[in-house]
Amino acid sequence: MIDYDHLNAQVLAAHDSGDNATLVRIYQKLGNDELANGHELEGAYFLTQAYVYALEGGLPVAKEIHKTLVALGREE
Amino acid sequence: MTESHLSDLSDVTKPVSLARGLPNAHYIDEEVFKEERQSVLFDNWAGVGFAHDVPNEGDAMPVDFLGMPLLLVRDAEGNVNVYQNTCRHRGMILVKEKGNIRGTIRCPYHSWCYGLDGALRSTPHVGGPGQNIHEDIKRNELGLFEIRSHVYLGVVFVNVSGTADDFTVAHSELLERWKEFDKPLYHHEDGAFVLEVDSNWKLAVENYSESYHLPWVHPGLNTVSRLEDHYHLEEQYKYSGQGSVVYQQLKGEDGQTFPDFKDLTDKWDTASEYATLYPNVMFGVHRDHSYAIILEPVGVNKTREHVALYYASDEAVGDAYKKLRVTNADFWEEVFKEDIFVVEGMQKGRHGVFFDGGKFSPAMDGPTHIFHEWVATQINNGRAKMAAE
Repeated sequence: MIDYDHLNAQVLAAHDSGDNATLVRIYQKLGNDELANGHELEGAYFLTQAYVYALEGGLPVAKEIHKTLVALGREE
Repeated sequence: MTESHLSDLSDVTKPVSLARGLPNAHYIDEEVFKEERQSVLFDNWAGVGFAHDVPNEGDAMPVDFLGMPLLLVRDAEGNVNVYQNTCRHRGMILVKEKGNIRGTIRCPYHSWCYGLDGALRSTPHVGGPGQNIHEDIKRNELGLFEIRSHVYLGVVFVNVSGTADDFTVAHSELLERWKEFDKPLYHHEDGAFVLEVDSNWKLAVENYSESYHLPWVHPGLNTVSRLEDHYHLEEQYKYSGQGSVVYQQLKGEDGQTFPDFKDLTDKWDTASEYATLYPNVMFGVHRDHSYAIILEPVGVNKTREHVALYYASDEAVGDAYKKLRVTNADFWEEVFKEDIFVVEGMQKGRHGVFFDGGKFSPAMDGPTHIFHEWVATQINNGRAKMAAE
């Protein structure tokens, strides 16, 4: 079971410190888990969050997330 | 003067022997300041920053240019681009502080993302949660507004209105005159300082344009560069200033001098020139260094002078020249500070209701008059444009 309180604290700390890599890691995992469970909307939501912070941080993983979002018809 | 005009400029554009300077309103009136913001500063090529402010790929610096939010960005190809610092979505300011953009510029409001080339890269959730595309959001039409820009002698110039001739056309005369200095420049942070002046920005240009004041305001120059050693630089509607035929290189205790710019003609062995590229950038060139002063018009009676010194080689900005560089920067800072009291004094003087713009010396004030004439012409052009609309 996901500890949302702990996750929330991690997200806020990463936001405060501008730690894009951590934000991407958290959001990407949440997104992929949701997709694996057949929850496309929730998965795309979290992957979008991950994508934005990957883009902002110039992180190479942005390409991979972009590919997934495009395949879902949610990014161009 | 018609009722719709804020000032009468008919005497300003007369020949120097008959002309009067710009009326007081051009130094103390907020409405005229707004008029000049458009006609003089936005419609021409104005300096807004230094290329060395954004030295590395991804470096970005926001600039508030008379309320216009600009963003200077160094792109992946090493070019400096200037954008309106405003998100195309809800008009949020994109970048608040100078820093490095590692990937894209993310709007802090709804996270629309822009590349260093200004292209809109992502519009998260724009079609609903997790849906980042929408048929009415055409990214290729929603990139950042690019402001025309050009880098010359280390200064980033912008033409906000987009209506001026290309920089190299608009300023071809000075570019030709100083083509020997249009080379890579080297800057060190110890050659930069900022002066706050309680005056309208134009008074700094006017003072800089003439050598008439040198014996009185800069007495230290009398022994090395006398009034008769100076000549006028006068290019109507383009630039003006002064030159000297007796430039002497700064020497360190051990006789050290800065390396020269390469391939200069003999003239520059002893010459130095100081000109304002209209409207607001004052340059100085010498065989071994140049400088630029960007006049930031903070308000009708407030100006910030951003000064940067440049040298001819990488070696000159290394440790071996530090002492000489600091001495040089101190020298120029002292000279420029000596000018502040006259610039501020002229500002105060323009509250004298009987001041009529002043009487120029045809022999000594030509370069200053040319600047007045240019400003008046820009304002007249703006008024004509307004009248035609």
